[in-house]
Amino acid sequence: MKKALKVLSASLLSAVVIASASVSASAAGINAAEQKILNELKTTAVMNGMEKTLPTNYINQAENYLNTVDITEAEATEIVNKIEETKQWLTSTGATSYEDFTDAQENAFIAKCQDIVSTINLKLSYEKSSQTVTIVDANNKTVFTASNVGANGNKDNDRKTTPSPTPTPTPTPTPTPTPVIEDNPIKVTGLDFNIPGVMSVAGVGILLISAAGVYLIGTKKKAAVRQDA
Amino acid sequence: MILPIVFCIVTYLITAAVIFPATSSYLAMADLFFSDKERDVTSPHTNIFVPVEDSSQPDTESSQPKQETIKASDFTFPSYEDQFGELIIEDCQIYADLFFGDSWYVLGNGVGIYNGSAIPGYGKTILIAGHNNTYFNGLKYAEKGQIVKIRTNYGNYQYEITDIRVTTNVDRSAYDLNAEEENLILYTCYPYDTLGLTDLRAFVYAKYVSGPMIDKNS
Repeated sequence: MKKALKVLSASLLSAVVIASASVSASAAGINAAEQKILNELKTTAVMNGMEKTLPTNYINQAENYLNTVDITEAEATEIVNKIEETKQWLTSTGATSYEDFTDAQENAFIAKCQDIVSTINLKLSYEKSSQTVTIVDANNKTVFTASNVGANGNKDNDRKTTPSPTPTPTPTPTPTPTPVIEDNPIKVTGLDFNIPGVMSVAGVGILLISAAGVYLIGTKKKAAVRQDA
Repeated sequence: MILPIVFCIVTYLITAAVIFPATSSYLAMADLFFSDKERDVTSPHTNIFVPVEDSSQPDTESSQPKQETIKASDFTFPSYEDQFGELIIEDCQIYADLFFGDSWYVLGNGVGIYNGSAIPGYGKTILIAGHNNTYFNGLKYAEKGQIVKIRTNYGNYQYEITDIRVTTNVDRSAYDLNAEEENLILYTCYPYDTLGLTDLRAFVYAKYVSGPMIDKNS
């Protein structure tokens, strides 16, 4: 009986080890399910007659994350369905871009995005003051980050989905769909330490100390004169 | 009676606040030399960088580096703020740890690949940031034709500098994250020796020379 238990526990242990090893071995790379999500992220949404896309840097961030995990077919299908629902909702808002959202629409959009990423146990937060979107995994590790969201939207290149009623005789190049939201990938690569700033603060500080000193001496002199009198 | 004491305290506080930025680095250095504390070598980031042997030896027949492919499942793909390599430009005296991501933490400890771009070998644009006062200060010596070496936990890469350009930080023509060919862009604040904040960035462009390409779907 004891031997049977030992064999059973050893078999179970080896099964767990093999299963975990196979998961970590297949984690890297993009599988078919993950490719399905990436393809969906590259599709366009229509907002107020304009075609909108996700910025390439957002899709790249998603792809880089998907390279570190394994997504199942069921999870991918659920995510794709939720993205499709969100795209339909975007169309129904009547807004032209993220910047045009009312507060209620903005909150609803964030809630929908939170719901999409929660499918694979990710958590999305939005810092309104800095317009920063962050997605973290179950270990609180950053998966996605974008700041100044919506700060650089370019409405001039929006592509109309409805044909022009009076076609122009000379064909004009069709602009590509613009991102629904954008941020700037270029970071601050200088230090916050500013020599002219420090010199100015130092100058003002020395001036204040000198003024206080002169005032103090003046007050003492006056007091001494009063005492003498 | 109380006034001289208040005046003295205020004077000391203002003086300390003014000279602190200039003295902090010397105090840290003194602490390093004279402290009897155990050196803390722990870091909040994960280091997955284990150098691999250089496999891009020139082909004997063509004298060109062999084009190799590496399966994505054969190595650990870096996560955000992971240290997974090093970047070297010998001509510019640049030797920096390479991270995935370009957060403040990363830029304080090395140079970082924007996680909205790609890692070396992925066949896309690699956008790397570094501080102008520290790791990327040597970019002021960058010239066309110089070689940028990137060593990672999965392969060693070489890129050749093709162009250098200074533009604003909001100039979107300075980079193309849609590019479907391997290319490297390094950038830092400009002027290179400025200590304050600036809107200008120096971009150094380099083309792919050698290194294993990643098979994404394997």
